[in-house]
Amino acid sequence: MDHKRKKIYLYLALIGLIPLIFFTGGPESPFRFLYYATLVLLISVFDSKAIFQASFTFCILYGLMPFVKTGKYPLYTVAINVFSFLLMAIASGYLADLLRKEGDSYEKATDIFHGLTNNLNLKIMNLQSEIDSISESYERLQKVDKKRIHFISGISHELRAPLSSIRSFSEILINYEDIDTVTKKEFLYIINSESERLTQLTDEILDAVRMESGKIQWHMDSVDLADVIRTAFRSMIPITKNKGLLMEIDVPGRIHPVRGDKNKLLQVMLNLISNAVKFTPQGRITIGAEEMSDQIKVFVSDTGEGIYPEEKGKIFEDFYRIGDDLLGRPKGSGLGLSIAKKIIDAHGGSISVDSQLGKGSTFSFTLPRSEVISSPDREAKAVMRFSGRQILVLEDYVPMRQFLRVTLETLGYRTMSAESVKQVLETAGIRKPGAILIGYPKSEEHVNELRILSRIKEIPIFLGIIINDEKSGPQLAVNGYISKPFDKYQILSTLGDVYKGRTGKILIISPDSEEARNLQVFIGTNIYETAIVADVHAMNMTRSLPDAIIIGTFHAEDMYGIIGYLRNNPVSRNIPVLLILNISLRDIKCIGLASSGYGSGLGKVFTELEGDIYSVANL
Amino acid sequence: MCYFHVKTLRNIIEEDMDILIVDDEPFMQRSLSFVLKKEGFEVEVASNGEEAIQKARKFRPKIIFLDVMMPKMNGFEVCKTIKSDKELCNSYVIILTCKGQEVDKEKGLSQGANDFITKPYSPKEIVTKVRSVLCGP
Repeated sequence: MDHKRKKIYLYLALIGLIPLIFFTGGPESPFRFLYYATLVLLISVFDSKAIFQASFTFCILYGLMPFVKTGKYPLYTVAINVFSFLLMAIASGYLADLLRKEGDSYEKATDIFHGLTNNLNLKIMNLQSEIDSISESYERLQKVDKKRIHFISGISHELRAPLSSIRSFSEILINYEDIDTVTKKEFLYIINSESERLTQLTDEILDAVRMESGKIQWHMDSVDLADVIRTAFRSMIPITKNKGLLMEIDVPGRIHPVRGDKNKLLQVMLNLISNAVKFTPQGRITIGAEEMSDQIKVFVSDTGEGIYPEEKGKIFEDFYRIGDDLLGRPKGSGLGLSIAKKIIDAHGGSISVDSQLGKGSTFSFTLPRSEVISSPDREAKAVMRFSGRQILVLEDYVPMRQFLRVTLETLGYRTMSAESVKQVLETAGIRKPGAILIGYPKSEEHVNELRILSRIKEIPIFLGIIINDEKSGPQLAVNGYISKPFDKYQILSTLGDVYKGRTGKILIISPDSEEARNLQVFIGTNIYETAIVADVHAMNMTRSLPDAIIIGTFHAEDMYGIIGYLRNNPVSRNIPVLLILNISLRDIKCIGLASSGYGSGLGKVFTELEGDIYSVANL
Repeated sequence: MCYFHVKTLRNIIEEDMDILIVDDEPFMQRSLSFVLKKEGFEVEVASNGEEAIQKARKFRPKIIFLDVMMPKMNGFEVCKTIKSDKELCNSYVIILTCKGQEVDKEKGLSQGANDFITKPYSPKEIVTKVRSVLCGP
C-alpha cells in the first residue's frame, strides 16, 4: 500500500514540476528555477516543517512579488505558479516522510537482526563450552572409574593371597592323614595367621573405602600429639622387642595442641611405626615431634633399607608395596601408608618421606597448630545445629571468602574454605562437607567439576551473593539471578518476579556493551524503558531513579563493589537488583531467593537451607 | 636350602623329573612343595626370578610353576628367559595366574608358557596336572 502511495506522490511532484518549469521561465531563467528547485530539494531531503514554512513565506513574499508588481503576468498564472509550488512542496514532504519512516523500520529490523545474531552467537558459544565441559567431565569420570577398578582389582588380589594359603593348607590337612604332629601344628598355625591377616585386611579396606567416599565419622577435638606418640610407642614395644629393634621416643615436654581425631592420628602413628618395623631388619626406630612456627611436625625414622627414589612418589598410593627380593615381600595390605596420607590430608596437614637407600627412611607429617581455642559454647551450638557437618566455602575473591566464613561461623556453622575447584575436589574427597557454598562464580567450567562432585558424593551446592550491610549486617545481596545463556522469556519472567510494576525504568549496569545491548533488545519493550551505564558511579540516581537494576557480568571485586554501593546508599537501597551469572544454574540452588530478597537477613535463610541439606543428605 | 630326592618315582618313570616352584609367597611355596613331595616328586623352590633361572639351569626341571606377581622380575620375564634358552626351553612352564586377570593368559602364551593354573587352586588340581604332564595322558 505504501508503495502505491509513494508512486502517487511521485507523480504529483512530477506534475507540479511541469508548470514550474513553464512559468518560471524554465531553463531560460535559470536563477528563479534554481531557487525553486533548491527549495523543493531542501524540503524533500530534510523534511522539516520549519523549512517548509520558511520557504513558503519566502516564496510568497519575494518569489511572487515580481509577478504582482509588474503585472506582466495575469493573475491566473500567478495562482497556477503558487499552486504548482504548493503541490510540489507537499508531495516532496510526504515523500521524504515516507522515506524516513522506511529508513527507521529498516534500522529497527537491523537492530532486531543484530540482537538475534548476538543471541545466537552467545548460545552457540555456550553450547560449545557446554560440550567442552561435558567431555571434560567424561574424562574425569573415566579417571575416577579407572581408579575404582584399580582399587577393586587391588582388593581382590590382596584377599586372594591369604585365601589361597588357607585353602591349600586346609585341603592338605584333609587329604593327607599321615602328617606328623609338628607339621600339622605348623599348617594350623599358618591357617590361623592367614585368617588373622585376612581380618586385618578387610578392616583396612573398609577404612580406605569409607575414607574415599567420605563416609567416615570424624571426632574432631583438641589433641595433644605428645600423648598420641606416647600411646603408639607403648603399644608397639612388644613388636619391636620381638624383632630385636631399639625404639626411642623424642618428644618435647609441652607442645601446642592440634585439632584432630585422636584415634585416627594414633592409627597413622601405628601404621608408620609398623611400616618402619617391617623394613628395618636391625637397628633402631626413633619417633618424636617438633614444634614449628605454625605447625607441629611428627616423625618416625628408622635405620632400615630405605626406599628407591623412584618409589617415593608411589608409596602413598593404594596397594603400592615396596618389593624386596632378599627378604621376600613383607606382608601387609599395601594400604597402610595410603590410609595414613588420607587421614593427614583430612586434617589439613601433609605427609612426606625422606630416605636414603641402605641407611633408612624418615616419614614425617605436619599438622596445623590450633590457634584459637574456640569457645565451648559456639562449639556445642555448631554440633547441635549441624551435627558435625560443615560448609565448604568456595570464592576466589579473598576478602569475600573471609567474610563468608566469618558470617557462617557466627551463624554457628563450621567452615572449610577453598581457593579453587581443584582444592574443593581434594578436600571434599577426603572430608565430605555437608554442603558447598559458592560465591560469585567465575565461569561455567569453574562449576562444572563441582556439579560432578555434587552428583557423585551427593553434596548439595548452594550459591549466594552476600554482602555486608552497614546497617543490618550480612544480607543476601540480590533479588534474583539470571543465568547465562539467557533468553527474552527468562529475563522478563525473572524481572516480573522481583519488580511488580507494569511499566518502569530498568537500569542495565554492564561493562560489556554487547551484553548490555542484548539485554536492552530483550527488555526494551513498550512496557520498560531502559538505560545502560558501564559504571554505577557514572549515573545520577537522584535525578532518574530506576525501578529495577540488572547487573551484568563483572569481575568479582567490581560486582561486590557495585552491589555494596547500591545497598549502602539510602536512595537505591530498596531497588530490586537482578544479577547476571556467567554460569547456568543447573544442579545449583540459589539460597533464600524464593522466600526472601534483600533485607531479610541470613539467619532465616540459612535455617531454611539446613532443611534442604538434610533432605539431600538423607536421600 | 635342602631338597629331597624321592627315589621311589624314578622306578616308575625312568627320567629325572624335578619340579621348580617359583613364588615369592613363602606359604604358597610351602603348601605346593609339601603336596608335590608327598606325592613323590622331586621339588625345588625359588623366591624370585633370578633365583628361578639359576636353579632352572642347575636342576633342569621338567615342570616349572611360575607365579606372575613377583617383585623386580615378574613371571612373564622369567618365562621369556627360560623359553629363549636352548637348554631350558624344553621345561613345561605352568603359570599361576589370578582369577579375573585373563589378560595374563594371552601374555603368558606369547611368552611361550605351556599351561595355566588359576589361584586359588586346590593341591589336588596341581597333582593331577603334574601327573598328566609327566606320565602322559
